[in-house]
Amino acid sequence: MKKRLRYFLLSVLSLGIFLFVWYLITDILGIFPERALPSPTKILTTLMKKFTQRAPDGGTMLEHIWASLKLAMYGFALGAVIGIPVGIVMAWYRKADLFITPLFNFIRPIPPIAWIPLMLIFFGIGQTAKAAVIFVSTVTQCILNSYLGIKQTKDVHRWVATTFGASNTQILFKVAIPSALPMIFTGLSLSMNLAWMTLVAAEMLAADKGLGYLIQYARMMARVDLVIAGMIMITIIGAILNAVLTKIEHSVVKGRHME
Amino acid sequence: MNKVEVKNLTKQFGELLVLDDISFNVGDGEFLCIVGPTGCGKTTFLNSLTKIYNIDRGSILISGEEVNPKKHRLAYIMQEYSTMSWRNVRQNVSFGLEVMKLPQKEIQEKTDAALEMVGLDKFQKYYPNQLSASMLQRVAIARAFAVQPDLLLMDEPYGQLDIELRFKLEDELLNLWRKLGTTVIFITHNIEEAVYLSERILVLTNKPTSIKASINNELPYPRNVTSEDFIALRNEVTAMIKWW
Amino acid sequence: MSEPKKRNNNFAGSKSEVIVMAVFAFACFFCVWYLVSLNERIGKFFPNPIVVLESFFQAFVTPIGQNTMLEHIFYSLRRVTTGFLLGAFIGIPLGLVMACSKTLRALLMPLFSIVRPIPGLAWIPLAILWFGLGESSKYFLICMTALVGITVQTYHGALNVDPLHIGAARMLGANNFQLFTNVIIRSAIPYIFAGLQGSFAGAWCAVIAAEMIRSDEGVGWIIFNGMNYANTTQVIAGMLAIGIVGLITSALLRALERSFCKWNIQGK
Repeated sequence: MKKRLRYFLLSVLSLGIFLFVWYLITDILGIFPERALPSPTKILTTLMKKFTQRAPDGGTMLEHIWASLKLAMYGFALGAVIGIPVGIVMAWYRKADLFITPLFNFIRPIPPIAWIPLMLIFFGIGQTAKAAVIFVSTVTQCILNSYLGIKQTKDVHRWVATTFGASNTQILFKVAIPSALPMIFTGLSLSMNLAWMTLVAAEMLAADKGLGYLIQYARMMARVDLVIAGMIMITIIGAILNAVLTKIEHSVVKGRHME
Repeated sequence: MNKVEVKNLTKQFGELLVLDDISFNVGDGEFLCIVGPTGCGKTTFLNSLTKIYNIDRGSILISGEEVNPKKHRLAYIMQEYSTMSWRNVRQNVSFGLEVMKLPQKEIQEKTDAALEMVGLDKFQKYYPNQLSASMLQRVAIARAFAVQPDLLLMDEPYGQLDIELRFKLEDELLNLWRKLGTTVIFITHNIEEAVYLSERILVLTNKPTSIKASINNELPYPRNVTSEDFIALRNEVTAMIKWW
Repeated sequence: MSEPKKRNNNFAGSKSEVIVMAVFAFACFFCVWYLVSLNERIGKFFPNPIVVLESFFQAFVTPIGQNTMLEHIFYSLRRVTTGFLLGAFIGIPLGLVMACSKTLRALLMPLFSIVRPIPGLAWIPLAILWFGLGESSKYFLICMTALVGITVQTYHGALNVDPLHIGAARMLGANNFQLFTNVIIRSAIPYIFAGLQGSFAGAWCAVIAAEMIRSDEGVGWIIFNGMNYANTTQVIAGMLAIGIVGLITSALLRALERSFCKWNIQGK
């Protein structure tokens, strides 16, 4: 026990030293000008103030968070609602598998960010284009994971169902889908992270609000403190989304763990 | 009419002939054991019976009709653990009943009865990952008996368990069998187990598999593994197997 | 039917059937695409597939901007490889060290935990502010994106060493250094490769993003440039290139892993 306490203290110490050194080299000793590396206190104050200040980019932190969140959720939800069933169907019905999978494998290697220019051309600068990009990236990931999850259905379980006289559809709903749920949730969690990250990138390229837009604008104003404040916010929101998803996963996939 | 009639059952995988023109009958409520060397196609046989595999030639009749899992009540307890990890014990046991689309009330009653039969009623809410190996097999047995099957198929279900547990579960099985009057086909490579449980023993050959012999077992229940008759019968069956 | 009806999902039916259906699927896809592009309104945005393919292959000969397709690909690959290797050179030792030394783990983990959840692309503005608009900022970005995944996987791999192996080695008299090189690294290698492969996809994304935001060449630039001139053909050609290069590099990484691990297993 003593050892664990020792290591914990070491960690706290490490963090403390890090922050202290950071503070030291910026505010006190001035080795790094504020332009390059603001002190931790400066970043914190900027972050606080930004929640109410509109300057310099025209929106408060909350407005940016909401703009990004709205878009990410919209694209993600749509992508999941379509992607999961499509993946399931592809994996379960042979004809669908033979026909759709090759096309899917063709689209899959294209990174979600690479869709941004195309969507911007189609939909113009606006929310739809970004939502479309999020949608594509989510759909791809969800299809993939749902597909894999269903394909991994154990023969044993399938046979049990067949012997009891289950129809193909019954096997799908009573065996395949429940057993694929962990994989489906992994897909959702991966999609979520990808969606959040892609959105931030998309906002850097073409937006007038949102967290990605914020840090890009701050960059152009050479406001490092604001950039870092924005990054902190992006990270925190991403972590919260993750935590929420994990909570949901635990309550849905309750009781069961690895086989 | 016999419960199960198997005629000229033939099954091959590509070039490999596994089941070679197998024919035999099983009486209503009979407890039949099938013994044979490992890999001789016992599992293939059961899979063909339950329509998991399609057979190449021959026919399998249950109560005079072509076997149809949707129509006939079959239950298959496999060698591998087949409990569904996302369902708790109670839900696992009621799986077969759900598939048959019985009314809720009936499902509840039959599940309760099955759980009680194998002594798992206190563990209803547990999930498979919290249970021991023997309990998992009991869940599979309860699931099988819950549907009150016409035909119960068992593929070396006690192979992984230690001796004490095996004896216990074998006795439980005999109790259930007597109570419900199910027809049972029980596969094992353990001769002693076969002699302990069965009313008749079918001995299979190596691949291409066919029936070597059918030995009646008229020892009175409950059987004593140390009695002379038991040992004699066991030796008889073992001798048969030695001829492979 | 003499095939076992075992699996509903084992469509190993016949290889030729798979290929035929795939070809059919692509044919349908291209037909639909072609038909859609014929429509007046959409056709403005949507070039027909033949034009796209032509322009794709054409780009290998005639430059887009200042460079041919191959040169663009080369720029992108160079960036991603540099940044990725940087990330690996930092990440693998970091992961190993944190796994093997409790003290160093206690010291470094908190700092790593701060960096870890930051989405790779969020580093872009900071990278530009710190390193300017040139190549270094891109290397930094790709490095940071790859670093996290590689470190985490290496860490888990080194932690997951079978204690039996360690015990056996110690019994044979191995000292700490030998233990490290022979047992721990060997066990961690599959995880390391998993980390490399996973992170590479992210790194490829990062380079594309970096090129879209600020650069004059590279495959990311191609699609960004295409977007600025509403040149859908160029955009799609660029997307094709991005996808194909991504695929090839992934396959190469997998092949590398296979050969490396074979050597590794033989070495045992």
